[in-house]
Amino acid sequence: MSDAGSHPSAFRLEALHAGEADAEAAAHVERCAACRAYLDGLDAERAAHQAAPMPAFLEAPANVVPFPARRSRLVYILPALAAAAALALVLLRPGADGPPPDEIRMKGAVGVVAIRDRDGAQVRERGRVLVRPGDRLRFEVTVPAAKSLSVVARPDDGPAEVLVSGARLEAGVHLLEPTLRADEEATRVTIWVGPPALVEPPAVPRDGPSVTSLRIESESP
Amino acid sequence: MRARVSSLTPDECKAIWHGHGHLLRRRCRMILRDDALGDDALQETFVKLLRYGGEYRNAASPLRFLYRVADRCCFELLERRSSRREDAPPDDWHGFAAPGVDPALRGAVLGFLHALSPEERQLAVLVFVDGLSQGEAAEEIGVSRVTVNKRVQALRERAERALRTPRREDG
Repeated sequence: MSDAGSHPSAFRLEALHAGEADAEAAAHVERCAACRAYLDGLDAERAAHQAAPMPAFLEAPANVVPFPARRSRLVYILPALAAAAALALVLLRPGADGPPPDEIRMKGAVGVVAIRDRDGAQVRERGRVLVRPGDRLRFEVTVPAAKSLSVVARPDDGPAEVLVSGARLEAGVHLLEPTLRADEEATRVTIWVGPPALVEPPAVPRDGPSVTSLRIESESP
Repeated sequence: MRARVSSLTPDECKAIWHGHGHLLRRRCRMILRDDALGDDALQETFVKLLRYGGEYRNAASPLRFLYRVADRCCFELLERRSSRREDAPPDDWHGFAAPGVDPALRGAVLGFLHALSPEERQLAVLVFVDGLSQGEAAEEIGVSRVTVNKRVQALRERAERALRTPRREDG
């Protein structure tokens, strides 16, 4: 800060701590107990950091799906996710110009896989995924032929929320951008993917040739 | 001609993690005032370094280069977060401060960081988090000293108002 008095800036102290040469700052630290204490604190943080294991996203970066770091809570923020999903869905286009769902020829089953990121370690789960607080989830939807699909989250104890409504997906694998984060509350949500008429309220979705689901539950109730 | 974007190798990123990871983590957590969100930004920082971080090798100040990347990731998250209606009040950040930094003023500025323009955000972090002088900040972001003076004064007044007001200032 400009009025920081005679101390070097926080940045200069941190750069010095990181090994960057700064004779003036080093000389100051020699005679300043407050700055030495700050550097001692940083040294302690570094020691703790270096004692911890390397995160998985650095151990095997090629296998890691980039998480956009959206912090969401599975149960309580589902209403807000609807807007977020509509804005941030990767490879989805608005379905208004596409054919209505009943004109699409179904050539195979839609698939949905959850990618669970726990402390940087990722696993892919199909059918049911167990989460702990802090886990993050992304979803990969496989579409065998172009069609309009909706993605709906149905908590066991709350109203259904449409995350994506009638978006036109080309054939292929689509990674959905919204990331869900499990919080401290128990989580029991089913994610439904299928034609809007079959998964969006008031329809009660069921697994079938054109509808698929994924169950998300807390590891401990 | 298009500039070629070079990446860092996983081993280079591991070395950065080893030597600078703690500094980047505390910075991300501080700027976002939320440990979990800060850790998200930290991971995103390393993803960016792996893809585009080649300039790190020739940076005059490696730490400044890393902070620029981390700040960008934090600001991107701030922009996403500020538009979400369910957003909870951010956690208080309890990290210790360098002697030249006023933690109360820093906390107040970080409290309305999301409501600032990208350039103002960068300036706010350089001055109130990093403790740079206004001249250093002007050089870093490439604007005149006069402009920096005005903006810093406005930020300081806003922060002081926020500190006098019991309610959190949300822009």
